[in-house]
Amino acid sequence: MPLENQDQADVAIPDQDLILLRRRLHDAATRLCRGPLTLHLEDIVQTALLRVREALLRGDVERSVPASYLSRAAFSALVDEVRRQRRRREVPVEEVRDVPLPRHHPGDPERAGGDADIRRAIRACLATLVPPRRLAVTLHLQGHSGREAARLLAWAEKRVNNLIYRGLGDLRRCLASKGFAP
Amino acid sequence: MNESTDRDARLRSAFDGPPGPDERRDDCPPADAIWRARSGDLDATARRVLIDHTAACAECAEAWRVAGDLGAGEGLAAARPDRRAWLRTAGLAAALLLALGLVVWRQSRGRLQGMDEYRDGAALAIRTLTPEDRPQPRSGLSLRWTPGPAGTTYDVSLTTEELLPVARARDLAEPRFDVPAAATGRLPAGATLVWRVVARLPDGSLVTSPAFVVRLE
Repeated sequence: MPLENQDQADVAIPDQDLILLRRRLHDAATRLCRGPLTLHLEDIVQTALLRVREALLRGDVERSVPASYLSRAAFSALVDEVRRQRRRREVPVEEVRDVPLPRHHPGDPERAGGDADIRRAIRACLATLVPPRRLAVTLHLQGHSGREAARLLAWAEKRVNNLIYRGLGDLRRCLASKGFAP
Repeated sequence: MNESTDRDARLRSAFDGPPGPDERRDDCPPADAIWRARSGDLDATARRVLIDHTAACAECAEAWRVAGDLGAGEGLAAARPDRRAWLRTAGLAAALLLALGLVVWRQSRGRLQGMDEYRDGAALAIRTLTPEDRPQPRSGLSLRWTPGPAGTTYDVSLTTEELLPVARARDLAEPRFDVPAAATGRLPAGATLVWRVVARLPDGSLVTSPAFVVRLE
């Protein structure tokens, strides 16, 4: 990334917000950019920041808006950029050799090699659940509490907790039938 | 940590992973729709449609978590439950279009220079021709949409607001689905239904519509 572009981005966003935004974007990008994309993490963060700057200049995002609006704009730019990079598949094959290893699971070596299979199995099993259970269980797997899930789904918390309980039972039975017992 | 909690954590950990090359989809909602759904800023039906997408799409599930990391939905825990959301059908269509945002996304794609080359092959935008602003007859419900190029075929799925299947059709040659009366006969008066179209273009590419809404009399 040319230095002049970085300077322009720094000028467009107030310093304090920029520092916070850059830090949060970097953390978010670290999560989104795994495998070969890790090599492009800094570029992706910088491109996302530049896009926020462009949005500021165009007036799509008000300069005086709270940081949460900047986060929203940055999130969109980040996801767009990650999607674009993934689909362009510009990562040369030889770079893959030097890519940092994916997250491992200390003390659970069996899982390191089987995560992708388990994940596919979970998604396949989720698809078999009745939709209300699938929605509730999906949010549960995303780390939401029953209360948060209830609010996101606009259903009563008691109902959602029941859907999660029954849905997890369905999910585990399905996974067991596929040879997984997470 | 008890056994149940531990098993939950393992399930969550397994669910939380990067998408493999074979897990990518071409019908993902725009990033901003994910943010707004995560923030509780979309209509409940739109949120459910999007959450259902994350159940099947590792990439969007990951984006959902990252949106949370970046602060989306921070006020959600304090918000009141939206228990009457199903009654607010008047603005549902507009909200859904915003939610899945394909219209906005396609318009903004040209406006924002080089912002998104994603889905460049999808030149067709499917729009509903079934009115969303007035109730439709329970018997004789006809879903219609803008046609693709000659030779396009269509799959249609119609569900309840909670995404329970109501009717489905495959390989339709015309951009129209006459829903069997038996499929809608048991639904309550005023029921809101969600429908989507997947168009298979003559070149084999697929174009997925946003989720459309239809309300029964």
